[in-house]
This record gives sequence, C-alpha cells and structure tokens, in this order.
Amino acid sequence: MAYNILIVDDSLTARTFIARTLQMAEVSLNQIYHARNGQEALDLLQRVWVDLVFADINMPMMDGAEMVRQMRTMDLLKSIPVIIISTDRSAQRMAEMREAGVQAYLTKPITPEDLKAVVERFLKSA
Amino acid sequence: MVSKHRLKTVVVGLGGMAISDSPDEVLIAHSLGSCLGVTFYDPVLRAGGMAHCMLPLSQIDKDKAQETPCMFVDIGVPKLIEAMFKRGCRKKDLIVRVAGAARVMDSANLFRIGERNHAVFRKIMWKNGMFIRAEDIGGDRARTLRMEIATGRVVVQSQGQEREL
Amino acid sequence: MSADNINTLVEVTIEVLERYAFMLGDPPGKGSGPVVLSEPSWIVTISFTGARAGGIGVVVSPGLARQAAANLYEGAPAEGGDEQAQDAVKELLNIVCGNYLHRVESNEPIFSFATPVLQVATRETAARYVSGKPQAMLAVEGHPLLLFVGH
Repeated sequence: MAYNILIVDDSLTARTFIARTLQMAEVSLNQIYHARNGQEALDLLQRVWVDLVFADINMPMMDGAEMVRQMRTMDLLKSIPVIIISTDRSAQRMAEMREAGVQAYLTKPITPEDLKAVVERFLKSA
Repeated sequence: MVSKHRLKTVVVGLGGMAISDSPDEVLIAHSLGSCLGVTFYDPVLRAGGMAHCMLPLSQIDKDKAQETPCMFVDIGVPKLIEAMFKRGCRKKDLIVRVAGAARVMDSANLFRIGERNHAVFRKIMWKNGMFIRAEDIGGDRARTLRMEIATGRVVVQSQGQEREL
Repeated sequence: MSADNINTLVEVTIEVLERYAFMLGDPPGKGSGPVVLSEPSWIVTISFTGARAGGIGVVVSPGLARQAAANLYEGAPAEGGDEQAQDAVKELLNIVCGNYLHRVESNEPIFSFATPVLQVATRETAARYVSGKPQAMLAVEGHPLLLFVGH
C-alpha cells in the first residue's frame, strides 16, 4: 500500500524538511500534497484522500487548531490522523489540541528521527 | 552469541577509525567525553566501522586535518562512510549509532564542543539521507563505546553501567 | 509574567541553529573576531500576543540565510531567487520565538504568533532599526546575526 500524505504549513522550509524526511524514511509514498494554511488544506481534502496529515498551528487564513476542529465535524475527514508540528510548546496548547482530536504533537525544531518514528507509528497501523 | 574470551579487541583511539568484518573482533572507543564515537554496521555484510572524533570542524588545524582526519567530525565521518562503501556496504543497509558529546571537558561549556560535534554529525547524516538509529549523547558522563562485529551489537558503558544502543 | 532576557534569546538561538539548521553560532566575544552587519541586511521580526504582547527579531546577512536554506533544503529542487533563503530565516525565527517564550515564561501561557516579516535594508537602516533595543551579535559560521528584543 502506498500512502498519500498532506503537509500543511505556511513555511516552504518546514514543508520541504518534512517531505524530504518522508522520502528518506522509505515510507511507501504515493503522493505528498502541500497546503499553506488550514483553508487550503480543507479545500484540498474535498478533492483528494490522504492517509495522514501533518499540520502547523500558527498559519494565516485558518490556523491548524481550527482546521482540525472542522475536520472532526466532517464525516469523510474525521478519521484521518493529524499530527501537529508546531513551534508552540505550551502544555495548555498541547492539551487543547489533544482535545480537538490530534493524534500526536511534535514541537519544532523536529529532527528527522522524531518524524520517522511518528510516521512508522501511524502508517504501520493505517 | 560469540563467547567473550575469544573476542579480539581493536581499540579506536582519539582521532582513529577502524573497519572490520572479522566476527571475532570488537571495536572499542574508550573514555568519550565531548568526543563523538560513531558506529556504522552493515548487517548484510556483517561489517562494522567506528570513528573517534574530537572536534567538530577541521578548518581550525589544516595540518592535523591532513594527518589525522578522524580527529574532526566534518571530515572524519565522511571518511568512515567512504571506507564502508569501499568495502561494498550500501548506504541503505548501514545502521548508524552514536555516543558521547558530553560536557565533561569544559564544565562551563563555553565552547559547546560536545553539542557542536553532535550538530556537525547530524548535518552529515541529513546531507547523506541517513537516519541515526540510536544515540547516547550529552550529559556530563564519560562513555566507552563497544561494537561486536559478529552481531552488530553496540553497547555504551558509563559509570559502571552498560546500555545497549 | 516573565521579562525578556537577551541572554536566553542567545542560548535558544544557538541551540535552534545547531539542531534544525545544522549551523554553529558563537556568542558575543567568542570564536571569531568583530562582526559587522552586512550590506544589504535582512531584518526579520516576529510578534506575539497572549499573556503579554511582544516581539523579537534578527538582522542577518543574505549569506547566512542562503547557507541555512542550503542545509535545510538538501536534495530538494532549488527555487528561483531568494525565496527559499528568506523563508528559511523566517522559519528559524519562528522556531526561536516559540522556544524562547517557552524558556522565559514559567507558567506556559498560550501565545499566538504572527507570521514573521522580512525587510531588506541597508546596513545603516538596520542599525537604526535596532538602536536602543536589547541586542546581541552572534557570528554564525562567519556570518553576522544580530538578535534583538522588541519589534
């Protein structure tokens, strides 16, 4: 099985870093999609199916928290695992995002090894 | 499991590097402080390599860099990788483990030598598209790093305790 | 509520540069000789709101940003102009800001971060911009990086 993965971050650098790590990890990839904010991601998710979403929190237009809340109200999208990769390290924010239904929360700066571990955890059972 | 008394120890000294595919050999780097002990193991060819690097960047001493490249992480580690490739190892098979980079040599940590050794090592791994399988890094303890060629088992000894990486 | 602390900002920046961009930074007075702002300089700022409002910023040489981008985009196709370099330095500041607030704010309040803003400036403009603000100059692999608090 080859996976579709969506990376949502307003930073091209962050998206490229995540995409390269996924390629290095030799995850069986079908397609990596990019979105620059929550709204772009939701629009994209109306058209394509993905197995896993990586999302930042602080983004223009629509932030990651709102994106996750909206995904959780949509039948087709509510079961897609979302992994937050954010610069925000506050315990309150992490608790808030867990409540909103994210599966994992990594804080920037992430290492390729952190990312590989989380991908293996979610895509093996996918 | 290879019985210990028949194993031959190959000491990888400061600025040294060794590669082996002899199942009766153990590579060992003693007393890693802020130094970095790097191991690569190829389970297909059952070959392993170890380097014992002291400083992050070779530009500070060009003569030393020529003479003892493995003294420096930035040229020593690529040299070890290259030597493994010459043995026939493939990048995707290499299991990377690393230990050391403590603060023991510089208690005020003015120069962050351990952290820098680790940062430069990670940069080389990222450039080469390689993941670090396991590491035992930082803190203020000295470590001894050992790799058994027959099994690829890597063990860190520190303060009387052993931990498999 | 905690106060801003330029020394903490220096520490966090050095750690983030090492961990994320694989770059080595020297704090003021160590390693390399005197460091001066480059011509032109890039001023990058980020502001935050929440438990308190504030901001931090950096003045960097385009060379530093290009080096960071080269490290981070390793193996990725190059895109035109300085887009990657500018994005890389903005993302670095974003990460520094999150880690800095986590370090200086003991009770972990929630902050919202604005998108980092970058402007290209002459050395004189950059110097004027940071004048009077708490600041510290780092040397990062031969490139200047001036950190400051306020925006």
